Amino acid sequence: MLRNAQLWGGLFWLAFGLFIAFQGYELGLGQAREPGSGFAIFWLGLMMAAFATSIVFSAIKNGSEDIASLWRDTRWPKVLLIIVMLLVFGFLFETIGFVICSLVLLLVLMRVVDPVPWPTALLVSFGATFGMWYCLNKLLMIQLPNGWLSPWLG
Amino acid sequence: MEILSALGHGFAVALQPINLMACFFGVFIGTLVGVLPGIGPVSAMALLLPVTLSGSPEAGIIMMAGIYYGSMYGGSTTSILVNIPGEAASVITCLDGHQMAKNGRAGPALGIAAIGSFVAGTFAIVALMLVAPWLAKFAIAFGPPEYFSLMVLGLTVLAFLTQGSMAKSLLMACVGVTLGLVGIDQITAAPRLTFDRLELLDGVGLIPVVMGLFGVAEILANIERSVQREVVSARIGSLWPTLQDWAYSKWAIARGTILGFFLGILPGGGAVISSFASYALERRLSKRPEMFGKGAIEGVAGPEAANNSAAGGAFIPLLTLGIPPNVVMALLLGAFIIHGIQPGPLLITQNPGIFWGIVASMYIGNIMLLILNFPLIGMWVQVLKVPYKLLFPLILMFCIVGVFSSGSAVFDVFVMTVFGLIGYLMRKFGYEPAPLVLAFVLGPMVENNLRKSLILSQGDFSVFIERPISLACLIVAAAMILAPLLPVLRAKREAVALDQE
Amino acid sequence: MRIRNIVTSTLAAAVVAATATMAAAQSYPTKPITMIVPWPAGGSTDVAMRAIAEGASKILGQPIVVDNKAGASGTLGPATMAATAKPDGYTVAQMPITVMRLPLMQKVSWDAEKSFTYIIHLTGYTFGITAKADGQFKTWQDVVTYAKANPGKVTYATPGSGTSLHIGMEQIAEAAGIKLTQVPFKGGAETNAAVLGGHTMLQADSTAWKPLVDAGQLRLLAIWTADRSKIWKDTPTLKELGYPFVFDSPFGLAGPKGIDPKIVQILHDAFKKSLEDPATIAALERYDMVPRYMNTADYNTFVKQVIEQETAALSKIGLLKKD
Repeated sequence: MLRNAQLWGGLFWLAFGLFIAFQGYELGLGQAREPGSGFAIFWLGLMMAAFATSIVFSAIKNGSEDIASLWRDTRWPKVLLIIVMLLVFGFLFETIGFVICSLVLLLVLMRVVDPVPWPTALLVSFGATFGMWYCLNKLLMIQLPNGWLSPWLG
Repeated sequence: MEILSALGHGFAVALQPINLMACFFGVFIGTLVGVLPGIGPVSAMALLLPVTLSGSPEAGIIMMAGIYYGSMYGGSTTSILVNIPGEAASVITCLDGHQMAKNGRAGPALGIAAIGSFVAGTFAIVALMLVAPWLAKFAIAFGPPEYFSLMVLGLTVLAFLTQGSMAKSLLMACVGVTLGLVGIDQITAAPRLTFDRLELLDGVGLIPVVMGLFGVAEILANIERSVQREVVSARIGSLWPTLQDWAYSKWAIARGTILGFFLGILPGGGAVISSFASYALERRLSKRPEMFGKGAIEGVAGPEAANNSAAGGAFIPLLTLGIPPNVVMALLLGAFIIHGIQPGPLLITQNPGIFWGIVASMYIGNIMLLILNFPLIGMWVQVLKVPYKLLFPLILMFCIVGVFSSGSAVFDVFVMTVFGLIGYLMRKFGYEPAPLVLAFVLGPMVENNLRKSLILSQGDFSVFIERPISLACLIVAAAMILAPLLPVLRAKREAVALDQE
Repeated sequence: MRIRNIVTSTLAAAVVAATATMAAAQSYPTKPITMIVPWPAGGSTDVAMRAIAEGASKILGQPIVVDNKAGASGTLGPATMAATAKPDGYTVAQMPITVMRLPLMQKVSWDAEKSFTYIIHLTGYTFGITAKADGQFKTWQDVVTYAKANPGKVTYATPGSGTSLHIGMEQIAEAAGIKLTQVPFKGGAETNAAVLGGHTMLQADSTAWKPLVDAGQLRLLAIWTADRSKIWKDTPTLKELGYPFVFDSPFGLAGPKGIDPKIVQILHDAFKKSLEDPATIAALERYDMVPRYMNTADYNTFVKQVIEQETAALSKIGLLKKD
């Protein structure tokens, strides 16, 4: 029971729904003839809580898969790596710039997740990064941060 | 006969070399921005508007219109190939389109999308020509109560048909609406659910959410599976839809076209609702509902026809009332006005050359799009031959660039990452992202129209059942929700519902 | 040797970077400028601002991309800009009067005097009240008579709570001794559809109703300018109807606080030239608007005056924020 995946999913949404309902209540419900900012949010929160409760009950009644079984035989560290890489990319994007960030991201993903031979990895990441940078910056006039390379990329 | 001579006059305008060029340039740019996720017709049109000023009004407006309907053609490409919907209207194309690609049938999927788009686009133009003035009345018959009920119907249609567990679908729809409400309240200017983050004042962006839930989550789900297996089948079957495909698709295209056209006329989420509604309808009517979500070609044909015909329908309120039903049409209105032409009830009589010229150019543009898109299918399919270990980093970068260029904010890259993780977990626990996206788009309109209706009726909820259109929508919505409770219908629904296991 | 090389090249890079930053103000603008219009695309403000932006972009040599961020009575755009945009001159917004008025009515996230860099004052609106042409109201007097018999039953669509249209209608209602119900929409395109579809009885908005009035689908009951319009000669002004008001809701252009004065000057000059451009004037005229130029300094003084006047007007109809 304690490892019932659907039960935990349901409980998470139940808590989330109640939290949203509380937020809506704080924003003010208004009156029926002039509903306030929190009116819809409050009721949405309650509805979420209700649906979540029904999920919880059906999980208790019918049981469900074990939470650990969802990740058995999977390569979850690689999934984690991709998420971390994306977050790191986001944090460094503006200071370091698009070109360096993308090169590093592409190389790491190609070399670590399912290794690609170095020559291919290098060729593809350089080609893709500079191609994309050229298309966006020069053709579509969308500014990507140049960061450390700004003196050269202008 | 009067119409024919007017149309003849229109073709005379549209076939002038300069206008023909403008039309080609427009649909070409449209196809391009349609394929690039994150860069929609809005930014392309805004950037190119100044270019059109040097030419004649006809050429300028023909080009602008071409970008718009051209972008509707290209929108399905990334959905089918790599599960990245470039905009909300092509979310639904991912469901079966990408499955088809995984089965080595990307060619037929792209082909049927192009054919469906062509048929729907052409139908919309004919309808636009024949019945535009009459249909304008239909658009304004929708006030706040009607919109509210229509949106509620839109949401329930989806929750009923996308998944086995109704509670989960409805829950996801609520989450979507709530997400859509984040930001400054449109009525009172109070910030809502922003938790003092300045970036959230503007709301959560659609593009990062959609790309996260679909594009990034798809990659995460593929990566966790075993090592060297290629995700997308390397063998690529026939490039063209077979006769069997055509048999499945022809009525789907016809129904999608009509549905899309009527919903497109309505200001607001017309194109989005129509593509979802068409998918729901096709699965409901299908003799093989169990194939939906596993690569049913009619699940691509119907919605793609619907969103193209909605694009045609959207011209009606603009050309006949001067009321733009969406942002793109508003940009077009801007183009008209800067050229010194006022769209409105008097447009057809005062500027027949413009009106009929545009209509004629849309016929020509649609044919150009078909010719332009068919050879591209062969090229797109090659993309799938790239090994996944090489392809997925590129897709990820494509997502990042698309998200960043749609709003120029790094915050959106984080939003995409977080929703990528959420989408991945949702797959694990058996929650579907499609209801969330539709609700996210419709949510603000649902809430806003509910509040306006209550102000109008002075707090009386009966306004929703006293108005016929609104009542009809609510009755259908109620039937959808109550259907599974009735034993007779339950058997049918269980057959229809997508089995995730 | 090698270390020295690194040091020199780092220094060189630093110098290049520094000059690049200094050159930024001189070479501004080097990329498209985003102009936030806090009204739905297609309304009169949107069209007017697009026309003005068109003229200015010719002078600046960069496209000005209009971003319609409608909602919250035209404050959603400027509020978002104040909170998130960088003061680099690449984001500016149309400043409706509600930016100054709303803080007096409720708690908001910005300070009208401190959160913005005001650049140039541009023009004002022509407002009017319309009803469906085939509806029950032929004159404003019909509205008053009906509203006296049915208090609160008369609904009117406005582009948002706290807009000049909302405040103006409430002031008119107070003077006429009637009670009306306001329904806030996002802007002209939506209020047109609301009154045309019979969802609200009246519409109070700027001249986005023009094509529909000209086509005889809407009837213009009253116009809020000081004198009668040159286009709609038969429509009475508020003064003629016996209400001592003129509302025009003037507006200008601003960016987030802290923009370099040099950049402000460049923007000001470009937009001033655009206001003088016959093409811009012609576009404004189509909506019965005329340029009302004020330079940066005058605009700043004007903002303070508006806040004082609004405080007085709001306290009279009881909508002033209660602390």
